[in-house]
Amino acid sequence: MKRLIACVSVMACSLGQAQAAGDWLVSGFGTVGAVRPSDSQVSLLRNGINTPGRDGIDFGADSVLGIQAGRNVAPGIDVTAQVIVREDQTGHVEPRVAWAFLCFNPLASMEIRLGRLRVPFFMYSESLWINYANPWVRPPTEVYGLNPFSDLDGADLTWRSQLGQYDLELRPFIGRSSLERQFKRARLKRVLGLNATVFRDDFSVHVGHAESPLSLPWSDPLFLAVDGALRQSGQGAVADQLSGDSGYARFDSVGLQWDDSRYLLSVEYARRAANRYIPSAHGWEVTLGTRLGQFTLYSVLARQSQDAPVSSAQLPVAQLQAGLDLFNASRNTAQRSVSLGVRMDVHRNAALKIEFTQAKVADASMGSFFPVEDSGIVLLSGRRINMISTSLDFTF
Amino acid sequence: MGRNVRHLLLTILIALPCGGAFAQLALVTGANSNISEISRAQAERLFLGRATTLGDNSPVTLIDLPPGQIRDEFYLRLTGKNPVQTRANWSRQVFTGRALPPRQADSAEQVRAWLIEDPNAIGYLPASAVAADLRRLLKIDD
Repeated sequence: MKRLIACVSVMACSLGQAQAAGDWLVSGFGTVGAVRPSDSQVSLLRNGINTPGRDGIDFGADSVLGIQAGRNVAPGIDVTAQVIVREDQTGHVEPRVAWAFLCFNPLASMEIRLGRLRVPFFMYSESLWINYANPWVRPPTEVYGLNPFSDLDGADLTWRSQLGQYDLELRPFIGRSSLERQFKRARLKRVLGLNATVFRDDFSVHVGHAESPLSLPWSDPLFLAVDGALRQSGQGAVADQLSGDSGYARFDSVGLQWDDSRYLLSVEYARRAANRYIPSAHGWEVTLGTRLGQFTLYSVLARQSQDAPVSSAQLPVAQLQAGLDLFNASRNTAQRSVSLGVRMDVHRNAALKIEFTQAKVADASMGSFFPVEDSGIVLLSGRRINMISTSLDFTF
Repeated sequence: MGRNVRHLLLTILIALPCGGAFAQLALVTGANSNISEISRAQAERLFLGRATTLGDNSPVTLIDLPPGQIRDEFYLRLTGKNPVQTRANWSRQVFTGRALPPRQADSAEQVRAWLIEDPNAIGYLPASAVAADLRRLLKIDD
């Protein structure tokens, strides 16, 4: 983590513009972020992925460094590659390829990209780590925690059209995705999706749908204990609902953004429906902001609710049922929160943000938090947790 | 007009405060450019990163002036976005792989040189700085 902080600090000190290296256009972005929950026994999970911090302050949840190079290789054909460095779910800080694709325009209204893209399920999914571009320290976890997958190895096609004064963009996409490192067997095996966006002046509306067969083999101690007990009791069919490679998941979202020079509004509703392995849930966020010179003041209301647990099975043995209920609750991330924040554009390419959040974890849920090691906590049901987050976001 | 004098004039124009000598801005291309015309809506899409080619699918290279008042004023007039919005928008477009960023010149003189050199390039300058070797595509008024 110290290496990442050192890297992003150096970049922050050398803020400039994109540099041309030969015909390559090299640019980058980054965040030095710190978050401190009021409860010393928990750490924040950003987008379902993070390693708990130490000593109460977590630099790993939001800090990131990205370097991108792009060039035109032939008339109408571009290549782009982006490497990002951030802490993964195992605590390692290593560079990884976030984007690497070839882009070409067969028609003026059409663009095709082939290679590694980002999973574009929700309105801000593609810019999830481009914190400088977003109003918050981090996109609301109630919505963005619904999808922990980031890479989409495949293709997308963007078709643009004009309907009167409206710009319409349709984007079908296909590919597959897996999580990083030891969770890499968690996979979306064949993603098919379609996003539609309508723009007009300061206003845009986004609608998206995607679905995929899902593979999610849990291996944590709680799962292993519950799975073992179920199978020993002849409840193998129920155990099969908890973990494996024959699930199916659907992701939907609808959102709108308004951003004139004075006010900004962001509203999004997102839903994840899965037939096994993870709960079905929906989340929403409403963000309202106002700009006063270099300051942007904003407030956020957000909520995630569970629609169905991993398994709704009713078991004949109370102890087994208690184990299953505990497993279900440990995968539930439902919570609600209210946040107040300020963004200060302190430099032409840098913004300092300070955000206060009060979250209330739902019953039988973990919320967007994780107990620190040796805390002895199993569930965080009903806890009220405050968080102070600060970040310096920059581009260069 | 000699090259040095023109350079000096462009430098002075760039340095003048907003609302002064660059009350009129122009979207420009080289005199021998492949780009014959462009609509304001098309220019707006290009400088917002929402389009990457012209209407006939021909390639286009966008050229930015260095950071400063003329650049901010151009984006405000053409797209309605203030500098913070413009930078946030372009960082989203670039780092999500939706568009390559405009090529940034070091000076107005370099904008002029690149426009002459690249027949697919468009840029912007104070209207009064559009010399005979450039062609005005659009007037960008308040």
